Amino acid sequence: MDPIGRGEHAEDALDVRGVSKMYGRKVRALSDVSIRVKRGEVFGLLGPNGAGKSTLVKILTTVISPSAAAGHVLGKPIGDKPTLARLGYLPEHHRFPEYLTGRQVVEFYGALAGVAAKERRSKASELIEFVGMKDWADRRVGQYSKGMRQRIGLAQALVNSPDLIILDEPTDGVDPVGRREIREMVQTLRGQGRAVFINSHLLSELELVCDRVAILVKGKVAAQGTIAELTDHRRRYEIEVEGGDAEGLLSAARDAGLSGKVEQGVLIVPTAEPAAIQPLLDALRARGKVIAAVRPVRPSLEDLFMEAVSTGGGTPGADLGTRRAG
Amino acid sequence: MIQTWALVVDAYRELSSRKLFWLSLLVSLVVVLVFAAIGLNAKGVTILWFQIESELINSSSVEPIRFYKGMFSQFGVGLWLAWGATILALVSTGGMIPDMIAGGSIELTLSKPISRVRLFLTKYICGLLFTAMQVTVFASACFLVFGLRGGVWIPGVFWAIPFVVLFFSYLFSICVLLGMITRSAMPSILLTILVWFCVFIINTGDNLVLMSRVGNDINRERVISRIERQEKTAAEAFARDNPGQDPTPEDLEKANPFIADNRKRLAELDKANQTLRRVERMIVIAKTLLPKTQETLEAMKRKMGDLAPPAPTEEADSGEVAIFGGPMSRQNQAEVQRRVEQAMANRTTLWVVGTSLAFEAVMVGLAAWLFRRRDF
Repeated sequence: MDPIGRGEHAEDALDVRGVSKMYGRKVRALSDVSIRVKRGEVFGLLGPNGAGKSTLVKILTTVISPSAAAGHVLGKPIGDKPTLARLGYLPEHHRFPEYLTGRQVVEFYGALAGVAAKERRSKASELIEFVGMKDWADRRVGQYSKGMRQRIGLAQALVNSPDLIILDEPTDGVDPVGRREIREMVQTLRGQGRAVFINSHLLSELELVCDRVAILVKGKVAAQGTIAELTDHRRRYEIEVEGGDAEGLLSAARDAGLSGKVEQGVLIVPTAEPAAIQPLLDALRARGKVIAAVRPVRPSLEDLFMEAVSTGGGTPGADLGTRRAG
Repeated sequence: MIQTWALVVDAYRELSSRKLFWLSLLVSLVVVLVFAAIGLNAKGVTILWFQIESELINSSSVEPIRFYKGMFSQFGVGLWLAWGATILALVSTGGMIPDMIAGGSIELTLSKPISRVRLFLTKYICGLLFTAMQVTVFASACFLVFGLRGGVWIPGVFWAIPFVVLFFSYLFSICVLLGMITRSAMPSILLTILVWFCVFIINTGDNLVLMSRVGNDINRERVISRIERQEKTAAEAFARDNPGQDPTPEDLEKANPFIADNRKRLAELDKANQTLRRVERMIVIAKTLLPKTQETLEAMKRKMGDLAPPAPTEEADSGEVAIFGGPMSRQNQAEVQRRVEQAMANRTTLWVVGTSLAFEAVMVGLAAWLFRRRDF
């Protein structure tokens, strides 16, 4: 037991293992999912539609019950209701009561989280300013645009000063300026030592803000770790040679002790080390080839995501981060 | 406490944001104004400044307190609160649970540190507060109008608050369960009204069977009394003709042929009585399991204390009671009415309210159980 959430789990905001969810006897939404999020970290959960992202988030927030689960959320077992007082949540497709003003929404959900009236009022004002909704705070939610609702949603998720914030598609419906602001807010929250768990389709957004990510495919974690961890072993060099035939290029690579492949006349060598390609460049020059370009290539999160999805969750290097972190 | 109060305030904001809430209050006000327009004096009834002379209804024939109580319970509660306001309240509150469990809304509430059962029960009680507010406003306004306009202060009108809320709570519990199952306001409201209609039909059946059985009882008593009188007369005649001998039933029938007819009639009535009592028992069992809307309002009237059954009429043999229509003397009508009301009064408030609350507890318990177990 770790009643105050310190000790063994002190550095983890979230550490869940073996989370599974069956709907009926046939539909398996989640299968043995293990995820770890440290305090002061921004964690991104990616996955195609129907991968089970929202199911996982709903299990963490007690909206649905898992078929099997172990581990802790903020140092307490999954499903512990009082712990939710320290958790902020912005669901996807949220629907706030339209008869409330933005300020009332923030105060209402603050009250449900158990925040005392005085603190709630001052916190609401502070957060409304933080999310840039000061001028609209006392108008009814029914008059808000999608982006405004997202901002108010973010404010309500923060009203209880949570240690863990779960944001499900936080930039959904938000314009580019708003997205940037939300990204900055997330970075501010990280700076305050809070853990932020983001569930999003927008890979480029996540790439900019996340410390670690997990890719969920068909209810299973296909890959998990820092973006560097996940992409390092996929780094490569692309060498463009004028008038180079494929066989000649591959032969030069073999002579240099490297493996590679040729795609559209470009020689691709799977290495991240500049020193490793020098013998290859020498070999090419020795054969009279003109080297037009040498490019180090680091795969993007999108490449990683697409690879995970196309292999149906069997991505090489899956759970890399889990193994390293664990 | 912070969470409960927040839910109560939110429920008030939700309900008061609906036009029906204000419409309901407005109609209540109109009903109160109608009451305020009606007065009673020695000549008859006054409506605004118009005098309607009446020998039947005036302050000499009807006590003003009885007149106003009757008006309140029959029209204010019996018509407006029990029907019009209840339907409006059902329409207003019927969406509370479906709205609460709608996608996008329920995730936010369930992710807060409040237990599902507490959340559900608080919402349920908030729904009842809607009716409580409406009835409180109505009863208070009526109390003032009767006092100021009629000069009679009737604190008994405040009994309407708990009883009408009880009455509404039976229906609301059904609506809440159906809302939890269907997740939609309209089907749950319509199905609740259907269940209410079924309860009304059973209640009407109960009244008809009870009236028939009471009529049958009266007829039996009269036939028995007639047979006894005829047997006595026949026995005296037999004794005069056959001194020292005891007459057999056949001797009596020979002396008065109507005795045989009446005995046959009695046998028929006994048979019908058994059937009626069996049906009555079945209806009472069904009613024990169901909410008793009508009886709850009757219990309220009894609590208000003016509507005692009419005084018993003199027992007189004025022929058999016509059951299911047909001619019936005033005396017989009054006797049937008296006994039916007596039988209804014998169904104690504890039985009426207790069994109805048990029904409500089952409905609410089932809905809470569903809410607690469901994945959203």
